[in-house]
Amino acid sequence: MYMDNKIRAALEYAAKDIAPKENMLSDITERYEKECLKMKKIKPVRVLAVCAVMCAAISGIAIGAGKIASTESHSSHYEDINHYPTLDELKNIIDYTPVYPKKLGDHEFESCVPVHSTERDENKNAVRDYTGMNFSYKTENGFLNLDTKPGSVTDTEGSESVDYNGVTLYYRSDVYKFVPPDYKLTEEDKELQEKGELVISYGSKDIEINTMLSVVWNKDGVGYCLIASDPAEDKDEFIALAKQAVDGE
Amino acid sequence: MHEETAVRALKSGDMSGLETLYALYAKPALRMAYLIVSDYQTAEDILQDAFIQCLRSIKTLKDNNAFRPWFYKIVTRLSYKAAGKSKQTVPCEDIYGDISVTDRYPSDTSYIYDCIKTLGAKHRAVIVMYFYADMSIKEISSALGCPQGTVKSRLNAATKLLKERMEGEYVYG
Repeated sequence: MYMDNKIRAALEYAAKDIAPKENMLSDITERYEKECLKMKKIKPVRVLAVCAVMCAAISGIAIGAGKIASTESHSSHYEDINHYPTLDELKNIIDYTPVYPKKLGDHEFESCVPVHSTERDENKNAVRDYTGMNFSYKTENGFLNLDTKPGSVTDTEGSESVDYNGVTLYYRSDVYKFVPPDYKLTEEDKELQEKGELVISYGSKDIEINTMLSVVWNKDGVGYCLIASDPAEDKDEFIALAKQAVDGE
Repeated sequence: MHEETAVRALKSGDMSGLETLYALYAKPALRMAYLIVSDYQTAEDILQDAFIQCLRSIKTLKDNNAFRPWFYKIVTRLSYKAAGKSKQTVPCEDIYGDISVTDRYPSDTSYIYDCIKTLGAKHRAVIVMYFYADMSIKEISSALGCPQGTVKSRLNAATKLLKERMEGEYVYG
């Protein structure tokens, strides 16, 4: 005991003047912010804008007897998980079990982020709150996301269906124009919108036009949406990625 | 802000939670790292890395009241790894060169600490975790990823080595 006390006192003495430098906390915050920006090539607001539009366009989620009129979603890069998570880690965040391959084609897993959503009916009443998980995969350009949520996709109008191992995949390709919140639609925009050839998405900093490929499907009570912006893959190759995601390989 | 509230805030993306946790644990964690690696700059790097790891994986902390052992585990693991790399062990007899025995040690404390620095990383780490951070054998075992029996034997061996080194050159007390 005497020796123990001597050791304790010696350690206390040796460390008594050691303190973090004044700007350490701001250094940590700054480094973390930079890391988040570096890891996230695509800003979450942009991805969410896409997902929100995709949900409205192709993936109405059936809840009880009524349909969802709108979905509000938000995420924070502070919640980013920048390693391939185990199912146990995800169980602390979401209450369903998604399939999320470590690699899709040549695309390695990059990060994932919980997305907190509220679904509303036509009267804007909140019908359901849930947390989904968006998985991002590395790409040369644009982004490749596998978005998951509890529930099932029911509204797939305008999509092309492909059956695969007992699962129906719904594929579609859309042209998106991302515009700032105060953007005024041009006559051409209106015309293309009416023809169903253009989707306007508000909320970005600059105007940008992208082709979005998506495949949605349901499996084991989970709704999936594989979505990519200007991908290197053509239609068949993109559907092959979706099939790989279905298999979880 | 209470510690548990801070953890919950951080989990929901509120960075004010980090400020609270930093205020509570930055200094003791830095001191622990310093005692293990014996170098201030390395200890600062470890502290920064530990908080970054904390931010990345705070969601994985199941019990919001268990931040301290969880965070200390991150700090000790990083410190142990850094200490293992640097191999900063100094033979006890080389510490003070030609200074005479009577002048060497102004007090027990500084002498004992110098002897602790001569221990290898695995022994120094358990000494610091057990005697300075008041971590239990179970917590040390979890932090280092080795069985509790191994921690106990390392602790015994480290204490014995210290005693031998101290008795060899200096009659303490």
